Amino acid sequence: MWGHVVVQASHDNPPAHPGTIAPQADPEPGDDPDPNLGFLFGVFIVTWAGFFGYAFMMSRRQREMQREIAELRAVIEGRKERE
Amino acid sequence: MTTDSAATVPASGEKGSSGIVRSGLLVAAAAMMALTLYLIFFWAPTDANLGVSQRILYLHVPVAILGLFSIVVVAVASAAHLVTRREEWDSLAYSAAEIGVLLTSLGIVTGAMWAKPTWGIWWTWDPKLTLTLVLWFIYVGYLMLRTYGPKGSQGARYGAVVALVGAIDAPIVYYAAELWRSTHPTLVIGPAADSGSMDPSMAVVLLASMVAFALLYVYVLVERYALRRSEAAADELYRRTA
Repeated sequence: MWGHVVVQASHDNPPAHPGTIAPQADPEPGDDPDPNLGFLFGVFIVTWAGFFGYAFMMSRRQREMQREIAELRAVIEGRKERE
Repeated sequence: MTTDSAATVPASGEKGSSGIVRSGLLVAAAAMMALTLYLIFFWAPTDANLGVSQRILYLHVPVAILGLFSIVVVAVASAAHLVTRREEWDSLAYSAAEIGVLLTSLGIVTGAMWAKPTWGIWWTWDPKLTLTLVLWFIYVGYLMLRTYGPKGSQGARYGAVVALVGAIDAPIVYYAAELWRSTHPTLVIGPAADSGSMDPSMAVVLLASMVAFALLYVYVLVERYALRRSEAAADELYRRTA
């Protein structure tokens, strides 16, 4: 099914190569916004959520690691003092 | 080596010159990203054929290119590890692989969100898309091997071999749209890009976005590397207390 759709897309639609500027017309009042705006905002949301989510997880894990390292160092120092 | 890593990891709150570099990178990436957002939404012209969905390209292309670049970083760092046996190179390779998974995943998802309004479908088994999916599996395979495979230097060596073999996929993905009949647009960035394929004002926005994401990539890589070194230090301290 997908193969059929692809053939349709490649022959019937305008070439999918981006990079040609459209003639700009002043929007009329009440014009519908571009129906693909949702996809554009979706891409921004997904990309930023991915980066921020990953940065947040890294930051949390780094704090945990620093806490663990401090605790382990304290354990080792305590043992040295007892010896 | 590991003893050194345990001794050199700074305690929480300590910030040396690396902290300043990391903060500088973050500020530069954030400033560049703000400029890029302005350019994408208020300065870049609208594409004649694709409308606003063409603006997806300003995010999709940098993310996908950096996803490809990351496997090269993994391979180079892995080769350096095999030659020098230094643990730092392995940490860099592991960090780049993890970020590579994130970027390749985002590249595939944003590509699908561009394909739907443009081609009418979310996914097709086009050579470029399929090879990018193969790259994603290579990244995941590398990380699974490192997580569930042999530990220590043996695991690092096995991982290095996977990375070196996996990196062969990167140039094939890059040139896929040129090598095979493909529905994917031809190259707009990199050494084989068609220089006249894009309006100059759009090329400027794409370049700005590329720089912004490259800065963000370096920042995230530096942070992940620091975390990996902390994990190595904690492992060494656990061994000492056991």
